[in-house]
Amino acid sequence: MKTGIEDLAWLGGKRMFERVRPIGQLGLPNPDRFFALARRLYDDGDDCLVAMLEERLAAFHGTRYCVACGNASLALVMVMALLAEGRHGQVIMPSFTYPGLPHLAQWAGQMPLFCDIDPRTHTLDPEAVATLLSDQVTAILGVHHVNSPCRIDELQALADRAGVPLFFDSVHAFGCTYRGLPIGRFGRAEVFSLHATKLLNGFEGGYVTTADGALAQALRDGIRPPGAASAIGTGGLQRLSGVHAAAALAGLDDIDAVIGRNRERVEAYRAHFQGLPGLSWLPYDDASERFNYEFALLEVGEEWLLGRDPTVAIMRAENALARPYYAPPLHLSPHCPPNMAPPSLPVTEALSKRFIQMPVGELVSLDDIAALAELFHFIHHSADAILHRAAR
Amino acid sequence: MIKAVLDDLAIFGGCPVFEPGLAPATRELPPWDEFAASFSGIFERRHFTNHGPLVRQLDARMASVAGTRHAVCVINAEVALMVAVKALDLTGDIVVPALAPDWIFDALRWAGLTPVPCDVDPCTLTVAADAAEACLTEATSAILGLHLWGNPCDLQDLRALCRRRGLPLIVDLSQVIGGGSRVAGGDVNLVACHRDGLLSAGEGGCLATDDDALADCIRTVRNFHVSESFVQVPLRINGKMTEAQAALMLGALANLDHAVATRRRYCDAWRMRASTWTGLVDRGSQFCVLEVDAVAAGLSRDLLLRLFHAENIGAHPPFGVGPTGAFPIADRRRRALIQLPIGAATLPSQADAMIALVEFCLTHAGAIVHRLANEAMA
Repeated sequence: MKTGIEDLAWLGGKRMFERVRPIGQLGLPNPDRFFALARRLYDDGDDCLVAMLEERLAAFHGTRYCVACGNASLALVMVMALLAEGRHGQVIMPSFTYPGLPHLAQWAGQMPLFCDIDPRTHTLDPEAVATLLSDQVTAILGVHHVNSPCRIDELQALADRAGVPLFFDSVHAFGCTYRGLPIGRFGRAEVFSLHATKLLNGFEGGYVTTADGALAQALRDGIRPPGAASAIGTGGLQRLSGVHAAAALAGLDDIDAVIGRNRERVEAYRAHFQGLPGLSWLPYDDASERFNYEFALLEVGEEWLLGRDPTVAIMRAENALARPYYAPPLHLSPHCPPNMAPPSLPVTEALSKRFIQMPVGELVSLDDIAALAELFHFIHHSADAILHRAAR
Repeated sequence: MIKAVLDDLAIFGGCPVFEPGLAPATRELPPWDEFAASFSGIFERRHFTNHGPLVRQLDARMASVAGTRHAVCVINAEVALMVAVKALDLTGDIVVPALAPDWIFDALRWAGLTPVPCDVDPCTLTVAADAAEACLTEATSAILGLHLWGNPCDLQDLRALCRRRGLPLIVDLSQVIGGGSRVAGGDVNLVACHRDGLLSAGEGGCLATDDDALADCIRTVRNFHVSESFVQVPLRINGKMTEAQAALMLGALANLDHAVATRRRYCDAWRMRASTWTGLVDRGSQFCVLEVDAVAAGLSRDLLLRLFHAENIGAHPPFGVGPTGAFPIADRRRRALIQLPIGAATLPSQADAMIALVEFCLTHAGAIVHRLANEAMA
């Protein structure tokens, strides 16, 4: 319990948390189930475990096909290369998202075309997408966020009219719905992650869900690298390790419980942070949809005197590894291709100044959240002193 | 199960030498107790990926095995080669042995390079420096050398050539590590861990280098994390290896010397027997690779493959489709080579059974071909 500002770890005081409080799910695969499955690795090899996982995930998402991949980034590269059909063009994508996306487009022989977002959903703004469509565009990549899926129907209508394929980065929408239907069945394809920080922990891994049999088969056969008609397509990017499949399988039955605990954390944050001026929580507010409550996203307004970035710095010093949410936005970051003039994306730029990703996941307890709330109350009461000290 | 007459061959309806599930395996997983202990440790630490302790340990061990200052482990071999190309910031062409696995050509193309295949020396089946030099153009940005089956390629001259021309040398060490001799002669060295190679416990790739700055580039290219961003690089990817992969690889490394000794023993035995065979030449010192002279042997490589597959033996061509273009030596060898599933996990009885099968097929080559031709016409 901090009594004076010298107690802040940021000023040399003792850290609140001995053990790091991270921002990822970091769920534990059920060990008994994992070891039982891993025996199959010894008896039968990798392929049967991967096939088992693909079958269960296809059922989970309600899609006909599911193809497992080494990780979600490699899956995105392969889908973009496939959809480009040998052309070098542009992929429309948001800037308010995972730093890998502009790189992955380039691996697929495409350039990123950054697009502004809807201020409520944080996903691609269909009107902005419409202004960017041209015959240079080889795909539209929508990213679903924890608080809302993309405006799928509108994007699909645009894509259909323009004859451009639409697909999704659905890494944060595992277990979520759009119009009551599970995410995973929209667009030409959807890409999910099995990274340990995501809801389903396969150490690392990814998979593509699709209703398009030809696309699924092409992924299985091995995608050719861009611009190389003579290339074989050996499927090297596409393999998922059997031991990773075993871990993911060992966690699949626990998803509802995981989501339940995520929801408890989100509700604890909301309850404990009440009364602090300038702070609010990005809501999971559509009662007709399912959410996974993966993130607790704190919005920092003008009334919070300390500001977003110093607040993050104070928390990180205490070993609570919060971080700014999608800041800086990709078009203004080193992830923007060097020779590309960054566009003006006012909604993205404004939103990237406002949110903090708070510590969540299986390594963050409800007591930890209460302790963080105490820290924030302390910061609120000592804001002037802290600001004064920071200015020195 | 010894074959005595043609009817005993599985291709003619006889009983296969191996049950499908009990075929010779090359995958060398660690003993189950070690596996269970490693993974219990991982679960206790809750560190699954993102540059964990086992990956760091593996990096150190691989540097020691490769004989370099640095080693950086990556999700798999293809991505490792892609990472190496971006870490070296290469564009344009790269000279590659025409006799190289398909995945190498693909990985180089994913990384934006145009592979320029170079025909190989008929004795070593690797690229000689003067042949590589003849392939160089203004667009060449690097040369890739490949050690095969335990036989090192002509590194000294290749290195000298690269130095003269100011070109980086990438060397694929996958098939010679653990041999004891210093084979890591490239600016960056690649170790590919596939299911049928050395260190076959799982998928993985490793980039080994003595160059500190290059090591920083490699570490930066293979992930998107702020905390693992050391230098400016042209492009990045998620190429991280996990604690699970590292646990399997560490287990395989602990067994490497024994695995290499076992392989060499098998390969020596094959070489001795092969010296009595007509039309089959043994090529590998750590891998069992035969070169089939169809005329002298009386049967082709492809027929031998069919015969083996019918017996549930997973023999395969070590090189796939290969690059387009005419490379007389490489192309002929590609069609003539067969790799047998002999590894440290193979049992002596399985190795003996495979030798017996080869000898039976050679002895009865004419009759086999004749009978298959008759059956095809019927």
